Amino acid sequence: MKTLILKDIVKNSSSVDEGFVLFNHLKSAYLNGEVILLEVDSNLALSSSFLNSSVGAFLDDFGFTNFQKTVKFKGSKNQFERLKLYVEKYRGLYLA
Amino acid sequence: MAELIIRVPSSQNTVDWFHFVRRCLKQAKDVDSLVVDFNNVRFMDTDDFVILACLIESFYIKNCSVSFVGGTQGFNNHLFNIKFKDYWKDGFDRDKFTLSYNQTTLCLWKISENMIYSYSMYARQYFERFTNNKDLIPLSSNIDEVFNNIFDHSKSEVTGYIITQYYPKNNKLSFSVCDFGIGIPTSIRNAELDSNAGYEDWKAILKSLEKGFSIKSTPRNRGFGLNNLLELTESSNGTLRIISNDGMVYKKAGEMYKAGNLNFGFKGTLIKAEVDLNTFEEKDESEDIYGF
Repeated sequence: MKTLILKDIVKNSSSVDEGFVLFNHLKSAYLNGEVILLEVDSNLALSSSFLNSSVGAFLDDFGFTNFQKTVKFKGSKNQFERLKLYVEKYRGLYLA
Repeated sequence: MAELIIRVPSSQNTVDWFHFVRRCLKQAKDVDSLVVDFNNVRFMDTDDFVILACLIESFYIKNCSVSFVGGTQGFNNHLFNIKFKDYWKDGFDRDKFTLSYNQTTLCLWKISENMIYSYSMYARQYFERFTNNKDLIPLSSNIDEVFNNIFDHSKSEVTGYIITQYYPKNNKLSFSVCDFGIGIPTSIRNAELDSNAGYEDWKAILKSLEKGFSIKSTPRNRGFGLNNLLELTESSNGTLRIISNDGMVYKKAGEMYKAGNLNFGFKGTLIKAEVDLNTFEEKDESEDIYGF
């Protein structure tokens, strides 16, 4: 499992552009059959714009099951619950 | 040199403020010198500050000089503490974060694309001092939501202004954000989505708060931004008020919406959110591995 420390790969966790950076890492991992351990600092605020262009884009392109298989989360429970809530909302609205 | 003197309203009456803005903007052409007369003003709320800042900015970006007169002594002390008048002084770096002299107010700040992501981080760090180990990430991320909305949708020439205020007596925090863009109802109508035909302004604002509603002005808009802010104020026993074009929506946690058209004719959007920090979760520094 490859560890990806979010604050090391993006300049911020608010913009669409930086979301694409994360998306590309996730996509690459999926296409290479790798599992990523996404480490998210408890002090990082993840805006919906950032998540839409990263996690949301991954869910659109590859689906939730592949997201589950490819991405594990490392960090605080609070952060995980926030990200999990985003994924659930996105699935409920945009995935069949 | 054409000088324009604008008398700032002494009241906190919203109608007075928007009529004041409209009157001033009608006179915005060919003004070289703007004099902001605080006359008998003793107090201004966060909303008033950001509206006035956007108004002044509307003149300033047309190369107008800005000066200030009037106001009570106490009020001028407060203006000094939050560095309000500095923003339009030569040499003041408006794109750089600046601390106020007032412990409970985070400086008025002009929203710029370069600083957008740092402000929410600074706000969180600044107010963490008061919060007894609360997790303020939801506050940070929702300030980002509002900023992103301005850049995605507003088409505002003056970008916008934000001010954040902490109230120690009841441990509440509020922020007010204003832009002089096209407004939420106008941007929805311009999107020409069939389902939005004929919306009244207040209904358009309500629509913008729905989870998943988006005019998709950028390809990755998914309609979560304002809904996230609404969820924050609901879960934190707070309030949310949005005024845009002629519409106004007010939502207090646990209560019904108050909404309607108030004929402000406001070309822009004013958002005020208030949250009760007592309801925020404790900071969580744990670390574990989770699966989705």
